[in-house]
Amino acid sequence: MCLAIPAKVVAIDEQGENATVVLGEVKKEVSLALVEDVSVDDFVLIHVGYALNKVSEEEAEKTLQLFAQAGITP
Amino acid sequence: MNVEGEILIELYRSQGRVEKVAIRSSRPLQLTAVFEGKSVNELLRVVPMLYSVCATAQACAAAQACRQAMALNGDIRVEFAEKMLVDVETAREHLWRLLIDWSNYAEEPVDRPLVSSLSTLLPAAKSACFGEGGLFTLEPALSLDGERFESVIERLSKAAAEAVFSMPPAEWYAIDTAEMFDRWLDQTSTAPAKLLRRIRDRQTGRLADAGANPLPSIDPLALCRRLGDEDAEQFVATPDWMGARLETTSLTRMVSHPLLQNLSEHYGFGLMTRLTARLLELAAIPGRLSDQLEGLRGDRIDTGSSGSKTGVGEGLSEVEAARGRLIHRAVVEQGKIAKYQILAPTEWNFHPRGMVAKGLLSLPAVETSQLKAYADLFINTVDPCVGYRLEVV
Repeated sequence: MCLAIPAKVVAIDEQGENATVVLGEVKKEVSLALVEDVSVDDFVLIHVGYALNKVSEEEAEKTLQLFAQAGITP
Repeated sequence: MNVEGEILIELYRSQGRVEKVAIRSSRPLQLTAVFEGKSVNELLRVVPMLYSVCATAQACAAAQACRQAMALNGDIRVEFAEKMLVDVETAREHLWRLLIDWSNYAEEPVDRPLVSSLSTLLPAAKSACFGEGGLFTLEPALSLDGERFESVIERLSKAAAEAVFSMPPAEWYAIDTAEMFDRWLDQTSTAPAKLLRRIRDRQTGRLADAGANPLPSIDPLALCRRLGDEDAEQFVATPDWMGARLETTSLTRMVSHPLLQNLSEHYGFGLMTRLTARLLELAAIPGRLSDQLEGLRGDRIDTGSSGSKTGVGEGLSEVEAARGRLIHRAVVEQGKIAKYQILAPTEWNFHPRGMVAKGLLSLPAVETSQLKAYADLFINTVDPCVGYRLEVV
């Protein structure tokens, strides 16, 4: 039952292999190996160092709201 | 910011052996409480978003539990096709981890274009089964495009042959003796073969032997009763059955294959046997999908053991996901979720006194970096996507 967390992409390295994402106030490096066509400002679901897939900003917000309802916040 | 939680694993060394293993989990299992009071349709929409690591298995389990709770006995072919999609997800997950993790362990370059290309497999399979209509909803309509599904199977087989087996997966699945397996290891240059060859040659294949104690088929009514108990939260966090701490992984699904039986004579259920189980499962899936597709086309399908009844308003589903058996229980009242529970394979396998603990306890107390390397490979072999932190004390 592994959760994936939505995060916003703020930078992508020159090779397009890794991205910097922001979740709450924290920045994190993730691999883009498992997703295609990711750009800066996209939202992605991240899990254990990987971006899994893209989601819309609306979906990202709804998902974070559900986490907040359960008392889980970044 | 570790919202997804993690498993903290501590290894304590003493007098040349690992004396104690402590496993503690901070995985947020309480999240399912937020579903209570929501409509079933809302639940089905958000489950794959929240649990997107194995989203197809999660969505499938949620839809099948909710349908059962609402006594929606629709087209049995729908649930059959949904489980085929879970198999596609399992194959993709296995391939991803072989291509990335196993390549890293074998110190081989990762084939990034192939990794990336696999991300289109599941969308193609879903579209081939359900068109552009709703998927994992209460009453989806099957819209099978057999030729498109065949092309998904072909892509899967080709990727597995190219990156892993150096032969068609079905041919590899027929390898059933340790001698044939050794010959394959010696003649194959893929990263998975290189990793296994290295393990054989360094004689580390017996490491982390935790035995094989498979989670059996459990009577759904008994499982529903257990999940309805007052201490169900504790059960979901650290499950056992009749006091037995059980395992649910690729190994337990493939344990009756003759190759594993033969390898277990040499390696027990250590690293070599476990890693090989993952390859066997990957090798089995394309052929199984082809058979299932034929069944679906000809209306000759075997729905297995489903159909067991639970209480009124209660549904229980069991799905064999990439990391093991995934169980959802839904209690539905007037179209709304009154209770929702997810029993994930991770909790069986990473039980504080379960299979992973047993395997780690059997490791030799070598120097710290080597011990961590063995432990990391073993944990990856059990569950390559679990978030964990390992400390050697």
